[in-house]
Amino acid sequence: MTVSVLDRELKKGSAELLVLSLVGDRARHGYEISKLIESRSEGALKFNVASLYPLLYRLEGRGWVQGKWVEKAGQRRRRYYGLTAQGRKVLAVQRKGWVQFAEAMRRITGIAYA
Amino acid sequence: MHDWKQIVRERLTGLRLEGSREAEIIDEIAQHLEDRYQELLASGVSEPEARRIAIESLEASPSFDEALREARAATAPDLPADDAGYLALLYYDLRMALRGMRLKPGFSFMVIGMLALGIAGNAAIFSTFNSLFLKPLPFPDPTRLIDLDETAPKWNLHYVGMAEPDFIAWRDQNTTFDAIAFFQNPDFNLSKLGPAQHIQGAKVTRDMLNVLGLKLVLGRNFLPEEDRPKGEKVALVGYDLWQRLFSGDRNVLGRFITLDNEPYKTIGVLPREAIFPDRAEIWVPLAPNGAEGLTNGWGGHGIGRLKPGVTVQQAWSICYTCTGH
Repeated sequence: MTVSVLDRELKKGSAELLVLSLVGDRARHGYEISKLIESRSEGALKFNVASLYPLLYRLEGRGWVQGKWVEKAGQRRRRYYGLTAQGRKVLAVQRKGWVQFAEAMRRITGIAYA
Repeated sequence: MHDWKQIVRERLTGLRLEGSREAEIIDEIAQHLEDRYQELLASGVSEPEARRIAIESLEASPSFDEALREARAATAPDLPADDAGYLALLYYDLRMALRGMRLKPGFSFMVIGMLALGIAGNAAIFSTFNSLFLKPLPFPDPTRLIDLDETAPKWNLHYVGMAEPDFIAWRDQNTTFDAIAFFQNPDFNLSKLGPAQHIQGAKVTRDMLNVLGLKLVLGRNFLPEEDRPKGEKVALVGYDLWQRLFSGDRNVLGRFITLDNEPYKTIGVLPREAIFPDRAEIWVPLAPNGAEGLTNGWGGHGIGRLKPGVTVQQAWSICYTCTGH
């Protein structure tokens, strides 16, 4: 129950930030993004097909990420998403906002980070 | 290998995306399902179970295709409120507008037509308002310039222009104006200077420059004898016409131009501010003739410059006394 609520609520508020952060250092394909979210959150956050791809297309439509089909030797053709210059600015703003939000939460709730 | 593309295609029926884009989406999601399926197999899950789980991830949201459609419609971005953010929003808006126009061309053209009509109407009204109220006339003391007009009460006409004899009477008995001028606005065919062209001209009495308070760029004003019937045919050339036809040559004085097949000697160049009467590009003497003018009716217009301190009412009462109307 706890994980389910966390999954739903946090994803709703932070899905864009999660995806933008993951493609910030290098381009990644959709499956890779979903696995990274799941593994780095130790299973607390999961993105399935139905939630991940609409989000990616939305970010692409806004010009924050750009998808490119890449065909590597011995691998199947995949669509890799990389951050655009505009997306980089948005990521910086969202990161800053998230830090401020977390700090505000900490002050109010007294929750301390490990 | 499962035909994931067929499974995805069936699931996304009704998405109605562009053909190539839909194929790309199906390709990409099918790839994801295959990756998931292979991962499950590698972790020891049976084939039927791996297939079920993979498909389940596709079915997890009942409104998947709706979410995809919304995503493809590219919702308005939340961008930082800096210049780059505003530019990106502007770009986004333009893109949405073009997309909307393409989807509903009839409606778009109707809206564009209505906008064009509205803008044209506004521009026309503002142009009039601007010239009447905002942009002052380019003449010294413009508030002392008075339009002179006559009335025809028996025809119930308030403004009928001015008759030559009345102009002569007003001018000769004038005590309230610094100067009075009479003018008409004929068109001329200007020829013998390259291709013939139709230009807006003006016939003015020699006091027009004094009334408007203008000084010539070059040359001299009409002489009294030139502003009489059968006087020499001379012309003052407008500034733009001087630039256009003579390339601003200062030796234009004394050269002849042909107006309506009659030669006129150029005796001066008007300043840029000479936008009255009717932005005429050339002035010639009107040469009023009181006797002949009697038969002309109200064939012209009058303009006067009030003496300092004289009111319009005072000028009007004196003019009325001169002619009785």
